Amino acid sequence: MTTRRFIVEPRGLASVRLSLLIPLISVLAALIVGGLFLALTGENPFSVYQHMVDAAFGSSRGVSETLISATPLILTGLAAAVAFKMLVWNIGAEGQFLLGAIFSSGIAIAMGDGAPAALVIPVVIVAGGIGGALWAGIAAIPRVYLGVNEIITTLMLNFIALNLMNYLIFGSSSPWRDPEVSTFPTGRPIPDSGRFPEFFNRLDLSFIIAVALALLAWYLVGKTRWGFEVRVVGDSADTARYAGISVPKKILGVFLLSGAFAGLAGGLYVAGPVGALDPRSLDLGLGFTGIIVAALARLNPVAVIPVAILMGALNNAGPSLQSIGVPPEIVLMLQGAILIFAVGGEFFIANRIRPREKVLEELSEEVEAA
Amino acid sequence: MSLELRNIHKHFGAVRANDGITLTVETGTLHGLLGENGAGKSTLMKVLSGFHSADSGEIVLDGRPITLASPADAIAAGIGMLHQDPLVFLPFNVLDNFLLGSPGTRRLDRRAAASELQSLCDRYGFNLDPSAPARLLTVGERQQLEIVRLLWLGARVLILDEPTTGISADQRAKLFTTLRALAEEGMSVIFVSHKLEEVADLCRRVTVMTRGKVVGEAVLPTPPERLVEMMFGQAVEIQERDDVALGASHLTLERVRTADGLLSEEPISLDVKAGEVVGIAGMEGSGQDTFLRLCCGMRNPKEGTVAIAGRDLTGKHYREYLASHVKYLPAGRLEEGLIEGLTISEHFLLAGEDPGLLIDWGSAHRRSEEQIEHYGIKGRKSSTAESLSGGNQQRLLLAMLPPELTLLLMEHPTRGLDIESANWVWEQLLARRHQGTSIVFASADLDELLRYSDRILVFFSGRIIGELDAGTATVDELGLLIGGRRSAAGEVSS
Amino acid sequence: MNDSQLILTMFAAIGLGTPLIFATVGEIITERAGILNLGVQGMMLVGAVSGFWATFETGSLTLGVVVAMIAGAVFSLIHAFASITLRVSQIVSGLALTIFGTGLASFLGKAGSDPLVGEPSRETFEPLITGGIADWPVVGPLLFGHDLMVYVALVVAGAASYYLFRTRMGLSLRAVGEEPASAESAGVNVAWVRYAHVMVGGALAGLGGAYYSLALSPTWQDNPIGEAGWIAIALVILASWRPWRAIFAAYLFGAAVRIQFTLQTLGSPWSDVPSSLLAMLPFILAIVAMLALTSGKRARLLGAPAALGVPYFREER
Repeated sequence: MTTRRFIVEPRGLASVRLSLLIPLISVLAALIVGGLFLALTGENPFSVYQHMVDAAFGSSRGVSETLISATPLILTGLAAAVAFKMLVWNIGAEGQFLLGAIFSSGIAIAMGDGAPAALVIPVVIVAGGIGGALWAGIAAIPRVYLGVNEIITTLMLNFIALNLMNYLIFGSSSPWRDPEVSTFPTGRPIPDSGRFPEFFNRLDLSFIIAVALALLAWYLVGKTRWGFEVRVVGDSADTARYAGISVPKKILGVFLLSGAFAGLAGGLYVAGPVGALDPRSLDLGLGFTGIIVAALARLNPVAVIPVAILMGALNNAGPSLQSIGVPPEIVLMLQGAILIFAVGGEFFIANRIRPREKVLEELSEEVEAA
Repeated sequence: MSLELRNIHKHFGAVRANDGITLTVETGTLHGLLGENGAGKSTLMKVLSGFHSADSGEIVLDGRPITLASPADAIAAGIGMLHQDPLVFLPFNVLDNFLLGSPGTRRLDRRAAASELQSLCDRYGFNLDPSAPARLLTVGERQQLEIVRLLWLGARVLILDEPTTGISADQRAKLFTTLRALAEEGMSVIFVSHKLEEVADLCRRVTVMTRGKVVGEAVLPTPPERLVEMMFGQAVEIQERDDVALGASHLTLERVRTADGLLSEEPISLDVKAGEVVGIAGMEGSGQDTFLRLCCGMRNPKEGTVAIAGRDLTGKHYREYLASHVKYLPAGRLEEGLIEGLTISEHFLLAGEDPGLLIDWGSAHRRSEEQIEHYGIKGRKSSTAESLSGGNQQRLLLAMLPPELTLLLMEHPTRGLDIESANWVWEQLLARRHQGTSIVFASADLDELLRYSDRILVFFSGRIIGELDAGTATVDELGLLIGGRRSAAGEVSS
Repeated sequence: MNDSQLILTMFAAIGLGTPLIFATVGEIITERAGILNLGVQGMMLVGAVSGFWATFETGSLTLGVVVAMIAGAVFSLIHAFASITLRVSQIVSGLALTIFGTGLASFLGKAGSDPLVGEPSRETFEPLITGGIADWPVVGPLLFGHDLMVYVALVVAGAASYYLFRTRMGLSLRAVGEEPASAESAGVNVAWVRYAHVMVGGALAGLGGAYYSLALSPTWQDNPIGEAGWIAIALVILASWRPWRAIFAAYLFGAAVRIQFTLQTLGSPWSDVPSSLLAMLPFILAIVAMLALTSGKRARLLGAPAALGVPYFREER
């Protein structure tokens, strides 16, 4: 009597094979889409992609720059991964990133050049996390205690943070602004005691810290009671309540942790490769790219590391394309396409689609067996 | 318009919600569809109204097989559904609700619709103000609005899903008058309910469903005991029970009343001793779940006190009750008790009282292996909850019960289980009595209530209508009480 | 501030608000169907580049506008498919649209042997009336001195209000955004309604984008729209999901943008007001509106569709 030829059913447990395969297919599909556009505009996609691989991985300089680009993405990816896992839609990593940068650079400048690096560096790192968490708190507290939708508030806070940074550098003579440059305002350089030591070309300690934090996040979510309870709340708030878990506290905790990760990304980025609160180096959409990282890593904190390196490689390869006359924005397109395919692929990981005859056959077999 | 459903099958995952339903509704009849919650009535009606597409089977209208791919198709075929919670758009006014889905031009002709609404209201004696915001309507008025809307759309088969929930006695009387009038005009009315007395009062024929199947049909009037028996199953002979000496009070309710809804009218007092098993009987939705929630702090009483093992816990949070060794197992095993996506080991972890910061996976796995073995759960420690069969899910829930338990509150502990699993579950539960655990359980299975309880409280529309000693009570006594008729003590109503 | 500067500011505010009216009304229509589309920024940019390109190739403004709207609508289909058919997260899917659209617009502007970037538009929108009533003091320029699209925007907002509240389709649309299951049972095809209105939203966003590249800054440059797409999302809340209120919200925002420049010309102390703080205003207002009106049960007072952002699956049990 019905016309539907296929039946869509939720899979009980996502298949491990698919959850590895679908992200790979997403990347391939995005490369094909990008390739089509390249071909349409008269480029040879293969040579463009070859050029990108060379730029990102072809030299030790390329590899170190790729890892530098990946560092903040690991952390913004973690920010999105821990939040989305619990259905906390924090899309304000962008703003939390900037607040982390403002806090870290501010404290480093305030402590000045006299303080010992062994003291300044930890303080700078912690300050970044606190800045991000506080900024997330502006959206988190209304969400948890008043039920105010966090999607819009976190999104709006991004632009407030961006304008706040612009105000500190362009609109005022704040301590963050370099008093010696008057023509085009820039950020005051962070004293050397607050900068991270470099060890592989320009690659510095911040990369190691980011990787360590990803492993820590994996441990926190997978191995601790807190992380376990967080997963239970994310799966079913009702069951968590029956088990006596305080749901609001868990949501608040995750939200602030997510903000702290994004803030750390900003803090490590200013105290690492950038070296000053410089709006032109910080307003790159790294918070949003973190969402791509998290989606492609399927919210797994460890998978965030290789995915962030992939995205970092794309970011790093982009500018080099100008030398062969290809717009570097192909990178943004590829990243957007990857996200589209990755999010669409979630459907195929979560559901299975089978011809109705097959489903019915299976059902009748079950009846016979019973 | 006559309607025939032939061999309808519909499954959700492993659950067979409709398992070969065949049903005929004659033109101009009031046809009752009776069954407990979860019997598959709602699924069947959703198939009939185009919401779900059946896996297989046929719908035949006036001798012609029809295809319903969407609710729009059903409406076009003349089948109108009035949902349990009338699907009224609260931000809209009455007239806009009436207009929704109506035939006509692109522009809304509100004036013409208003006069149509008025004439339909006049015809059935409704009083609806077209400009009133829908959010101000009572549930009864929303139903009236839905009925006139469906009539305007040309419905000739009207399905009402549990329409008397939440409406006053006056409104119910009015609804019934309307339905009778509609049937006389040749409308086929399907009245879906778990309330036996209403079906008996209103309908000419009744079909009874349990567990996705039709278990009986009758022309009314028919003795209510027969219908109760169809719904609740035949009770077998009562067996000898090993008696447990009752101990101190474990649950004491004193004149407890809720602020609103069920259980707000008559205060309830109850004392359950250690080792005692109290069965809660009644038609679905008579206040049993509210009652159980009151006993574990999920709901706070407006008046009265709740004490666990002599300690007054009135108004305390659910977690305080947990700490006093009270455990509540709600009805939806998978929805509320177990978590999709979590493995058996993780469930034990969740149930454990380990306060540590880190998870000791080694001991969690060891414990889950022991428990899998001990409770005979067919699954591995890495199996997820939803991959287990119903019986094994129940076994897992039992295995997760804390070792020390003062009071165990359960809803439908064996619903959907085969007899073997159900017996096993009760074996485990009754063994707990020897350690002094008190059990209070709600059930829709007469046999289960009579066989395992020490005494049975019967709820009827938010009140305890009677209390029976399970050792001496008969199936008929219990059946009558559940149906709202007090005959046991000679207080015959009806 | 003297009179002429006030008039100049108001005049400019109307121009700057016009593309925001298109995008905001489009997003209101989409959200009224229960779909949150965070891809406005991407759809506007795609509209901006395709509209500019069409006019550049043909010299026809009409064609530019039509192409921009079609491009926006087609582009929005990605989001419609992901959120309606696949029922994946609307938030992530919308963001993907923005990221992809931003990259695509920049890429298309720069790609090829003869890139668009830096090229002036062959045609731009000019004031409809010059002289005559447009020269009347004060009201002349403010009421009659604009180009066609300014008036089209007002008509679009008015028509959208009429559509939402006075037509059968509008009624179905609002019903779908409130309670898709109920709407379905009333005979409305939920998926169709949602697809159609996501595309209407896409078309209007595309049109808004084209107004930047064909009127406000008619030389192709990377991202001619700034943050307009995000601002439109904020304005939806300030307009509390009512199209005609979007007019005021958009003009108000246009004024806030323009005032930054006006203040600079006025000298001290006016020029000391930092422009970045003014630029925060719409976002702060949107958050305040969210906090004041959507906490707890009051969300419904604001007019937010109840089913906004919730995937709908009829066969769910």
